[in-house]
Amino acid sequence: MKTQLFQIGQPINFQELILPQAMQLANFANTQGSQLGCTLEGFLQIGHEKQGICLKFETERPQHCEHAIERYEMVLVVFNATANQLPLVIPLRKDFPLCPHTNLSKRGEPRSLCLYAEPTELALLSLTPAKLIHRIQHWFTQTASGTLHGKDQPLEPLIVGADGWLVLPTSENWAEAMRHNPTEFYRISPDEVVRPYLVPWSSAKQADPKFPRFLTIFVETTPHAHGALLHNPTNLPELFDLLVPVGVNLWDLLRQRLSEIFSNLGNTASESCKIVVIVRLPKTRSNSSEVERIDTYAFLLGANAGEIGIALDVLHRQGGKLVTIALINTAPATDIEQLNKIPVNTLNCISDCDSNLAASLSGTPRTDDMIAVVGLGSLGSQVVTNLTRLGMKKWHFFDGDLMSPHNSVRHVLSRSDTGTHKATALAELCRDILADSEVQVTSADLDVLSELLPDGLQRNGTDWVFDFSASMAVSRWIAKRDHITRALSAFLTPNGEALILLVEDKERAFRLDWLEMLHYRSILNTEFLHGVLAPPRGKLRYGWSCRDVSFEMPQDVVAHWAAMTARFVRKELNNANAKVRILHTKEEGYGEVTVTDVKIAPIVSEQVGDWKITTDLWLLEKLRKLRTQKLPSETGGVLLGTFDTFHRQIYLVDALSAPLDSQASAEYFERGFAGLTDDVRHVQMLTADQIQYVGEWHSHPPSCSTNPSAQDLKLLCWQAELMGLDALPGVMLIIGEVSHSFVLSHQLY
Amino acid sequence: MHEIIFYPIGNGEACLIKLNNGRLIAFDYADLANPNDPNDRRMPLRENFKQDIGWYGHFTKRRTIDVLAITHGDLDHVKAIPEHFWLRHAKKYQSDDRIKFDEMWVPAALIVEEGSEEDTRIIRQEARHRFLAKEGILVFSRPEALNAWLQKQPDGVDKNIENYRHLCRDAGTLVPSFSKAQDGVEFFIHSPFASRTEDGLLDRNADCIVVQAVFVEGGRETKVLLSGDIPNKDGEFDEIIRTTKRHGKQHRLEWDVLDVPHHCSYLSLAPEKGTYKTKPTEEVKWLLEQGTQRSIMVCSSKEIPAETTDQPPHVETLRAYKEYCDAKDGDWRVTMEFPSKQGKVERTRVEITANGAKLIKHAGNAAPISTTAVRAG
Repeated sequence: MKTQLFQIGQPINFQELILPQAMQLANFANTQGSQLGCTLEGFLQIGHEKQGICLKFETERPQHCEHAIERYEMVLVVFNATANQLPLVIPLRKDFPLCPHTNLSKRGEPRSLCLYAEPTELALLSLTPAKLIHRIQHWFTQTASGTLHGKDQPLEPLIVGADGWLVLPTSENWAEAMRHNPTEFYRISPDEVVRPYLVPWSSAKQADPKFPRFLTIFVETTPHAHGALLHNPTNLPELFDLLVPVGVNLWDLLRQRLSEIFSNLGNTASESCKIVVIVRLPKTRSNSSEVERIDTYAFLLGANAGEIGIALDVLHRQGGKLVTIALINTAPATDIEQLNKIPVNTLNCISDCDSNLAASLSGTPRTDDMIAVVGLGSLGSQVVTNLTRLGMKKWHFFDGDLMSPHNSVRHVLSRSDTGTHKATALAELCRDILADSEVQVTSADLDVLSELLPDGLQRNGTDWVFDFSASMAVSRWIAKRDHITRALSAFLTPNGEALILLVEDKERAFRLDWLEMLHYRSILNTEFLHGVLAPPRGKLRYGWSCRDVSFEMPQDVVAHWAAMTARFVRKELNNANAKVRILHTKEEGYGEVTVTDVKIAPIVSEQVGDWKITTDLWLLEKLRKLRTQKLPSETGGVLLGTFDTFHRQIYLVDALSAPLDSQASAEYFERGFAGLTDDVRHVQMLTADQIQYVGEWHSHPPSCSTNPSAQDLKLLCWQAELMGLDALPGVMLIIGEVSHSFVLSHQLY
Repeated sequence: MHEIIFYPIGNGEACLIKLNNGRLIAFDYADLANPNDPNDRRMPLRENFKQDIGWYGHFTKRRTIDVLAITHGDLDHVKAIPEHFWLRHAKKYQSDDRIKFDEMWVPAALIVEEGSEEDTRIIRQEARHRFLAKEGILVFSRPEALNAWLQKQPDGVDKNIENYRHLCRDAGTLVPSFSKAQDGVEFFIHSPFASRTEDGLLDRNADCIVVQAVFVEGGRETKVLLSGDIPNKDGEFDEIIRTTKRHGKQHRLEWDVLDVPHHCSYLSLAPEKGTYKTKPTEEVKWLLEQGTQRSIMVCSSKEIPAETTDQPPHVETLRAYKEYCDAKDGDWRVTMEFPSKQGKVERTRVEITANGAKLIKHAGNAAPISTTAVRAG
């Protein structure tokens, strides 16, 4: 049987070729083509601007072809007068197979081969006649073997292009749910002119009744081996034809569903409703392979249910009303002419955004950790939304603050949320970002003066507490609660130069209160951090109350640190160790960040009377080193730290060595005071008054106990007198060769 | 994927089978090219063969092939083997630039025949050495065919033929060192074989190995008939076909790829050349019809002349083969005509894929130059 070929254009002579690329290809095929299995067959003029070269290819194919490529294939290479287009390569055989990597054409016209993986502008850079012939030959060879479509390449869709969008529910088993109770959809695009955008009815925030609801006809097909792209259906019969090869009789399905709709909804409601057909199509790589992917397509029917029902002979009008016709086995009188007039729009089915999608797009592992957040101010709100966009979906928000207009400047919420609880509004925002967000809200501040532990912070059921309250009271309260889960605290320094990140270890051996002390110590001992706790540059009063004060800090700074906090959380969430990190940048810079990780030494803690003294081995080692340097004499100095009078706790953070005018011998030490006042003031200034004088330390010689001597007791009396004025105890720390002793001055009373 | 490479060496045979598990089998090896003749188009074999076995690999340099099968001792099937391969029987054939082979396959005739000359004689010495050493050889024969020769060996040689039985493999059986499960291929031995006559068993066709290789790739079997120089002048080929049919093993004569015997000589089809087209005997005709749809015939020969000639290849025989080839929509290839009858010749490659056999038709048909994105934004 003679091969039937498409007839395109008018034959011309070689001399009539005027397009340079066409001439080059003709010359090459004529002289070199046989080496590449290609012979020149003729030239064509196609319209005014196009010229074509007919080539005959001897193909390279295995005995058993995946796609019916013939021994010889005739192709037409069409060049356009505009040089910025790639030539179209059209197989001319009328029964050329529908196979992957062919480009859609108008209905009834031959398809062209999809030869270029790269963009046109890149392919044009290196295209030569030889490369073009190689590509065509390669296409035939690989298509015949079924290997053109890479094993790692996603399967070809059935159809491409769409007139609008349909957002699929995010539930993992949405198809199962759809089988039993098809989801209704709602059109959120306001104008018929715009391309429709359909969302599940349940997620439509503000459904406007004047926009139609769409009832769903859900169809699951038999598996389909991926192949050539097909034309999108433009009317109902074309949609019917598209689904026949995959085992779907759309007419029967429509009749049955329309009959149900009319029975369930009644005449008025159902006549005007619209229909969307959702098709779930399992795809295989070849006829014999397993299902690799399931594609979902949606088709919007351009007539209301009543009109479709009449055309399908399942409804008819009786006295102005529609009534159903009993579904019987005889062939219904389908009005094909009417059905042809019902347009169909293909909708691009897209998944709603959920934590899986967010994690995938972020390239981060998804976490199901339940996170309690305390404090949803400017930093907290921005960190939480950042983390939500990274795929974190389970939250419990604690914040009793209401949104005020001035908050809009640095908060993710806006003026429209004024007067609402920040926690509630932010929860709504998180649910808007991820369809599967699970957010609980406690619209009240933590009562940090109470012993009670609110629900949502306990170890059981919550994986983390994120403290963004920027309140020492909150972080200390968290630190003191044994039944609370592991905590992370993030806050900015008042001038915005630094972000402080404190993370408790998994066992909570190092808690936020001590980690806070360590960051002070680091600031004291790191010269470039000396200014980070400087006061804010300006304050702004936004209300009449004494506390209605905000401070000057640009949003770009908050956003920068919120991003760094989110990154820190992303990287450190699975790290079991405690961490104190200071991220520092200068305001005049563009975000160059210096990272300081503070060394965390084992804690040394002792209950002395009703006070708990806490320090660490770092400080004891430091003092022991000073002691050794001065041996055989004693030595000493002042202790730096802070008192938490509410929790009756003394933190010993650092110490100063002996002032130059100190007197010392092997049995005696008298601490001088030269420069000491300035030194202590400097410490207070560097730490925003958080670290202060808390007591004295001195060493005892070798072979001497660390119990206070008679001299020491005298010193303690002096301390008690001074500190007692402030109702605080004075601390004395005695350092021996291997041991140490804490003595509190108020023990003397 | 397995691959079979037929080298364009004129009227001669050199074929390399590359299995997908890395094992290599050479079916004949003859370097016939004359380096001093600029008009000699035949491919020089040594460097090209070394390249194909991975001698010059970047990471592993292959020095050994698994099998060197010698279908028979004619020079157009063995020339230069003593120059290019490492032979165990004498030091002078052992240098680092030589290719080693673990096992050699030979017909019994190669061992027992006297009066061989040139390279054939040296190969015979190697075969005899390996046989007596009882390792590195498979003789396609019944052991009895070697007994007379064995008894003539000098004293001190083990003359009990039973002790050599494991080195022999008779027609109608499979080569033991390959299997479809382990290697994706099995070799069924058609020839040499013994015929039953009134006088009992008589060894005929003793001088040429014929095997059917059955490859498995992606669950699909592809059958290749390697026929060497099997003649049919006196009905030798007919006899193989008849015997196979008599044993009910017709499927052992099915083929997807036919290695056209004896460089397209009419003598492999029939005793008569024919005036326009050689008419094959009934048995050979039947065999040619066993080719599957889109099967491949590869003829290791010179360019086929347009006119009749005395020496093969014979144009009359070509016409006969082409008739059967076209009937199956098959591919026909003459090794010295690829990619064309003039200029430089290329290897003929047949790929054994999950989609069956595929003849590579386009010389240097590398994957198209496709740029990948090197910039992201």
